[in-house]
Amino acid sequence: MLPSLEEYHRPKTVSAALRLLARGTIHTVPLAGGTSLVPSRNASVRAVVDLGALDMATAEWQASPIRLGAMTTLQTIVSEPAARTFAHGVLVEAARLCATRNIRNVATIGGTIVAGGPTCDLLVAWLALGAQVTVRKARRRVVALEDLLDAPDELLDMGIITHMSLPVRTTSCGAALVRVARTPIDRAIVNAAVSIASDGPVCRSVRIAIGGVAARPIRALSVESELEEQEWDEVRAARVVKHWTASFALPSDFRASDQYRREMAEIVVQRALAQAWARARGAS
Amino acid sequence: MEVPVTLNGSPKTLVVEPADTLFSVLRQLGLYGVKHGCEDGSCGTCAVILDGKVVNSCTLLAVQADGKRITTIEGLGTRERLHPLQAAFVEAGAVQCGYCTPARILAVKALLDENDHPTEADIRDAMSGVLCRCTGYVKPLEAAMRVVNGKGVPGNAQNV
Repeated sequence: MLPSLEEYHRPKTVSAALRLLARGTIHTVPLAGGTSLVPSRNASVRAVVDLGALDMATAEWQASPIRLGAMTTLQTIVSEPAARTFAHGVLVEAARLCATRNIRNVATIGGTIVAGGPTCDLLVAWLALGAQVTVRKARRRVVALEDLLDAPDELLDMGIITHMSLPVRTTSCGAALVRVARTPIDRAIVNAAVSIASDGPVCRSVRIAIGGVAARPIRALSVESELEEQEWDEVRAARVVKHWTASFALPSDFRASDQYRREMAEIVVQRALAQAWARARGAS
Repeated sequence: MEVPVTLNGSPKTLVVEPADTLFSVLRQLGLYGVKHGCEDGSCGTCAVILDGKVVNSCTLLAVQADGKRITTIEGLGTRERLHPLQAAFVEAGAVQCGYCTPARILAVKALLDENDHPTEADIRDAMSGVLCRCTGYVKPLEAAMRVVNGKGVPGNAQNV
């Protein structure tokens, strides 16, 4: 519970919500599904602004880019027939794996962006799929998801995430999500998602995201640039990935040591790359 | 704050403080089938059905239930006339310590209300948010499948 909570607001317009969040007199935060915020026991929160009446739960799966309202629940993604074919099912798979049914029925896209954590399968998938996030403060601003994850305090302070956009790839493009966890539905220890386009034998638009190796999911930018515009070569890709996973310090906790994470990071990225490439070739 | 809801089929006005969770309010009403577990959404033993969806009541503010339909295990059957899912859980021996049983039955109920011919995988997914302390996941699955296959007593999936 939130032990210091004194006020609950459920405004009907975004501007009213922003006014409530901008009050300097009482620490006020947005409430989406609440699955992270409500049990957080955060004693500094004295007021919440429930975003549930702002009409932000609409999902436009046929649009290009796909537009998902920030209050869309994770279960909506899992249940949506149009989502199953998008990005070779990676989005649906990530949504299903990142939380149990009880949580998916309530947790939202916006809440997951803010509170998803370092191994959230959806954050990893969204990074690989090129998600952009629209934030409303005094003005509307569109930011890449990775920029938002880099500086959430600066970009989100007194603001509201209104929706996410996911580009629909028109070229022959493959995607894959690979993870390692203690049980099939447990939280991932390390996970990776890849999106890659095939121009014949040449790799284009390579995006690689990985969770469980840093405080938040990150992109493997140096691996991406090494593979971009090059002919696919699995042996070379494996070498590039190995070099990258050996190049930085990894976290260690009760789920896994840094050595284990490094080994697994190498394997999941290699597998995700190979799977995504095979799918890209199959689609071409 | 006054929060009008439909609780187990009857209109009810909950009187709550902003910080109250739905879990704590339901327990204060004597609905002890809503079990006290982890309080952070990990175990699912406090699950209720909210507007047709199974959710953890411990991660919801009570005020978030405003205007919604809440079903707890007390809303399903009676001691004399068990709900078909309750009867099937008893017949299949799917109870063990019983702590997660109300939440597990509600999870399957919410699924069957949406889909009366679910697969085993659908049932496993529906129950994914409810942790069994005894690690007895097979018999609840069997019990649910009995009802799906029309072998649940005293009814079948159509009148679940």
